[in-house]
This record gives sequence, structure tokens and C-alpha cells, in this order.
Amino acid sequence: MIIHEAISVPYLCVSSTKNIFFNPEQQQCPENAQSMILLLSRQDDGSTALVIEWLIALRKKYIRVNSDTNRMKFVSFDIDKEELIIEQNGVRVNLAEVNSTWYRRRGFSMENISIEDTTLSKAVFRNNSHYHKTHMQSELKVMIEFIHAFVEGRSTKQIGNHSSVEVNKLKVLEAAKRCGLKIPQSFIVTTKADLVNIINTYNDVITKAISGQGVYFFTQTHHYYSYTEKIGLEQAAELPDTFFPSLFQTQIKKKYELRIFYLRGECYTMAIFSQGDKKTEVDFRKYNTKKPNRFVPYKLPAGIEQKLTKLMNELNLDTGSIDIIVDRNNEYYFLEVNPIGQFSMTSVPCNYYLEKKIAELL
Amino acid sequence: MNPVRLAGHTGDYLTLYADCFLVQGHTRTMICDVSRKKMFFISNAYHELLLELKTKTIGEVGDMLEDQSDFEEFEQFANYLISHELGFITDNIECFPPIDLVWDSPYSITNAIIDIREKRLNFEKIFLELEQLNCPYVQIRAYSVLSPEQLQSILLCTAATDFKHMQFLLKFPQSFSIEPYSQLVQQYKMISLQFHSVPGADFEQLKGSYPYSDISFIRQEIDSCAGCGVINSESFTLYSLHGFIENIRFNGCLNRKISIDENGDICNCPSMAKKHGNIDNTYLKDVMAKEEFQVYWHINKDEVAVCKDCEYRYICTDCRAYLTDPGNLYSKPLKCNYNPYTAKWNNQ
Repeated sequence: MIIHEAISVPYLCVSSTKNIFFNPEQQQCPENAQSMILLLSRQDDGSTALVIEWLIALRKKYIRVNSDTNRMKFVSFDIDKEELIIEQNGVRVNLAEVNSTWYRRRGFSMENISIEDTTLSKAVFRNNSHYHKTHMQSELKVMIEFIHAFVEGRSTKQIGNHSSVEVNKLKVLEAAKRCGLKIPQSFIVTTKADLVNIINTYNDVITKAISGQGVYFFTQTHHYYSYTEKIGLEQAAELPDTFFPSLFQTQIKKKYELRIFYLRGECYTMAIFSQGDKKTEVDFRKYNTKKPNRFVPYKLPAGIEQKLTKLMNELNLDTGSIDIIVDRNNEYYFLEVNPIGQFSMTSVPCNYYLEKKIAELL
Repeated sequence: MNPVRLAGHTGDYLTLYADCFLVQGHTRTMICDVSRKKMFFISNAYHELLLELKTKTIGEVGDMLEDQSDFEEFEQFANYLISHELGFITDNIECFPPIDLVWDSPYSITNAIIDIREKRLNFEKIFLELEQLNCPYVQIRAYSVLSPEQLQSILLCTAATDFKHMQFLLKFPQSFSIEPYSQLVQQYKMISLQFHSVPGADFEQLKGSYPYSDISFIRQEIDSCAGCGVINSESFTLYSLHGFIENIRFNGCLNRKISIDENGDICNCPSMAKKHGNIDNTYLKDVMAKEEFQVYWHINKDEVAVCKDCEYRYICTDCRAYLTDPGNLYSKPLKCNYNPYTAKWNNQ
């Protein structure tokens, strides 16, 4: 009774040899030789580090591959021997040993697969010095797809997957509608006249990127990033008569916003109260540090949970971060799903221990 | 913001945000806004009201009030909560569960204190064992002067460790030069140094002279662990939801802590009389696994006499070493001057 249940066997049988690492670049905890977890991530991902703390506590063996560093590098693949070798600090690992994969971020990339950049940046073909780069990109694409298929095919445990990670926002909206979820009225238009028409009909209209999370680009002098922005007649007037196809949606009059971390049929939901605050009214990522938004646990109605599960199944996603807006009539509007969305922002304020749950599932 | 009229919300609920916790004391109740790290105090009558509001609508609670002036006070109180963003009115209260007060940590030991004076401790063994226990935070308190060379010899023993942070509390030496110490903090990124017992003149001279936070100076004289355990408004802690919940469930000071006193004796904290063997011939992991060692981890403020009636109890670090009744494990900390029955600090 005195001993807290978390202080169970794994904690107390720490062996006498030093083999526990926190450094994400020194990834072995070579206890349980028959299983190895592959963490595909990026160097800057804090959630991966938090999951690793739990993996260490659970004494699970793992390797972490970051897409943005060549410290862990592809070496070779032998189809007969079933060997896919990567190397780090002179230590070679056969990824065929992997039986559990967490697709947190892309993992493999140009950075850790190509030998070096300088040869590739030389001009090779006359009159079109970049032709070979396009070719290398296609080679790389096949390689990356294969490596992921190789490890995923051997993984009896897996969270996230490479093939479903690139969701098409428009397909998702259609699928959400099919699953019985409400979505904002959505239009892609190319002319000012059509846009003005939409604004006149619906009054409150927002625009956001059709792909991914929008612009996120840092130069030495400037940071560019796009949020969801409200667009009125005034802003529309500044646009040319015709423009690149752009997504417009009716703005939902929100009571609050929900961020749901979906994991294997479970919805870990958090409500975000930002409506009292002009700064965060349209997009809560425009954070107000003086008076931070309230982040509190939320219980979704069972019907909405069922529809979300149906949607995630249809999209072949076992995990992802879902955005929903609840309007003043308690209607739930599905906005989008991000298969690799941040979840610590939900886990920490709601005390959900998602990092531990993920470590346990791996 | 216009005041909210409750008459328009009789079918709705008034509820606190889940990160605003009610802590009822004998005299008054604290609303602890954990996310924004703010404390609000309300009378216990309003605490009762908030408890009623968990299951009853605003209208139902209004009907329980005796006369119109009570209802007006209720409305004022509701507006106080709403304007301070502590609470909100909702028509779907079933969607807003409380925060589950589960607490866990991937670290079997989260922090360690090591005291040193004259006796030379085997830091190689200590650090290796702490590393094997996966302990992320280490504090070393030196009551005699440690030369930069002595400090370095301790730091050399950290080579095989991966502590997240090591804090050194160092006695200020008679002739002080910052240079060798600043070299050490540059070399060992995970350490910070705080010099204690700094004489007034030196303190004035040094104050603000070093631009980084990894070396700091305090005037307070610390010549033994006996100075610890003081509880006052400065010692309250509210740094995260995780820490707050730990403080509700476990002992705010001792949970998952292990210490080594200046003689090398292993203990929950150096100030505690009970020792669990000497580091020279005892493994830390064997000590921490003992039930009699972990018993202190689990003494929370709801179990301590007087403290259980205190509205500050969930942000109080507690002290189990210096007690008002040394024979009673569950008696009030000796060095606390707050009286929850009068809601006053006795020394003021």
C-alpha cells in the first residue's frame, strides 16, 4: 500500500552497468534484446523526448532517427539477407530488428540518406543544370517510401504511418461530411467577384492554406508564417480580379474550440477558451501570453466520438490531432486533422499522460 | 465587460475552469488558478455555493437563497468569477470534467540533495548510483568552502551521468574571484552555482556584476541543514499542474527524493534524524526501495494536523524534519507561523 504503483518492478531492478541515456542522439538502452522500437522524429520535437523518458522508465530499447540530421545515416540494404543498415557514431543497426515504430515525424530524409550534398549541387547536365536534382528527388522518394514500408512491415506495434501522413485537407473535409460531421461551408474560388459574393452571403469568412499548416518559413532576417485569417470586403478589395485558387470557409461563431488527440479509438479532448480575446479569436495559435487561454479537459458527446473514429478509420489514421469548433448552439464543426500534430499541448494541461500511454503502446 | 445578469441564465450552470482548484481552509477558501499561478480567497460560504453549483443550475441555486439581497450577492460573486476568468456559464456542464488528479513520473527518484562539509564523499559512487536511478535533478550544499579545484574534482565524477541540472550551494570564500567558477559553468552546462553567506560589502559589489543566471549570490548564512524547513509565503510553490497535483497527492518536499547528509548517511532529507545506512557501504537503490523510506513520500497535507485545515496546503512544500511534536509524524511543521484558524501569520 505504501509503495506507489508506479514504483513497480521496472524501476527497482536497475542494473549495475551504466546503460541509461537521456541524450536523444545516443539512443540505446540495450536491455530487452528481442524487441526494438524505432522513433521517427525531428531533433526539435519535445514530445519525442518526453516519450523517451517513459521508454527508459519502462526499460524498452529504442533508436531515434531524426529527419533533420545526418548523425544517423542510411548505409545499405540487402534484400536477401533482409538487412537494412543504418549507422550512428560508428555503431551499425539492422532495422530488420525493429518490431515497433512510432511515426512522430518523417524520420528519413535527404539529410540522412544521401551521402553528401556538394556533388549533388554541381551542375551536371548542359542547359538544365538542375535536371539531375529532380531525378535524385525521385530516387530518394522511392527509397524513403521503401524504408518506411520495411520497418512498418516488421512492426507488430505501430503508431502513425508513413503512407497516410500526408492528408489532403479537401479530401478530409469531404470524408468528414460523409461520416456525419458538420463542417464549415467551404469554397475554393479564383475570382474576386466570387469571393465578394461569398462574403456578401455569409458575412464572416476566413481563409487558410489548402495544404499542410500553411507557410512556415524562417530566413535570417524574416519569419514568415500564415495563420487562419479573417477576410472581409475591405481585404477582398485589395485582391486582383483573378487569383490562385484559394480556400475560403464560413467562420463559425465559436463558444470554444476543441483540440482532440486521437489515439487508437480514444479521444483525449481539450477545450480552448479564447473567445474573450481579440488576439486569439480567429486562430488560437496567436497566443496571448499575458492572459493565456484556458485549456481544460473536455468530454465529447459519444456520437461525435463515434463519427471521429469512423473518419480516422476511413483516413487510415490511428493517431492525429483534430480541431473542432463548438458554436453557440452546441453544434460541433470539424475543421481538420493533423496526423503528426503536437499532443503535449493537450497532454500537459489536461493531465492526460499521453506520453506515457504512447510509450506503453510501443 | 458588461455584468452578467443571472436571470437570463437560470437553466445554465456556473462552473470554475478545471485548472482553478478550490482549497477549503478553516477560515476561508482559496481558488488556486494553477495555469496563471494566482491565488484568490473567498469565504467558505461561497465555497458551499460553488459545491451546490456543481450539480444544480443557476436557477435551482437561486431558489435556495432566502431573499433578494442574497441573490444579488450571488450575482456579484458570479461576476467576480467571470471577470477574473476563474469561471464561466455553460449549458453543457456534462462536457467539462474535473482534471483527473493522477500523478506519475518517469523518474523513480526525481531529486537528490547531497550535503558536504569536511568529510570527503565518494562522488563517483554517488553519481553513478543516482544515474542508475535515473535521477534528473541534484543539489549539492556545501557548508565549508569548496575551492574551484575541489569543485572540479566533484564535477569530474559526473562524466558518465546525464543529470538535467545540478545546483551547487557554495559557501562564499574569503578571497573570491569569479573567473575559475565561471570557467566551470561554461564547461559544465548543466550546473549552476549559488554562493551563500556572502558578506554585505561583497554582496553589494557582486550584485549584478555577473550577467548570467548560472552564478548567483545570496546574503543568507547557511552553516548547516538546520536552516531548512522554513515555511512562509516565499516558500510556497506553484510552478506547474504536475507539481500541484504531486503536492496534493504526495509530500511536497520528500516525494521521490533521496539525500546524503554531510557524514555520508543516506536519508529522506539531511535534516531528518532517521538514517538508512552510509553511502560507503549501502546502495541508494536498496534504500529507496524500502517501505520505511518511502513512507514519507506519501504523507500529504490532508493528513497533517492543522495543515489539513489550511487553505495554502496544496502549494506548501511542507517539512517532515522539524515538527511541532517530534513524536508525531503527522504534526504541523515547526517553522510555519501561519494559523489557518485565524488566517493570520503569527509573526506579523
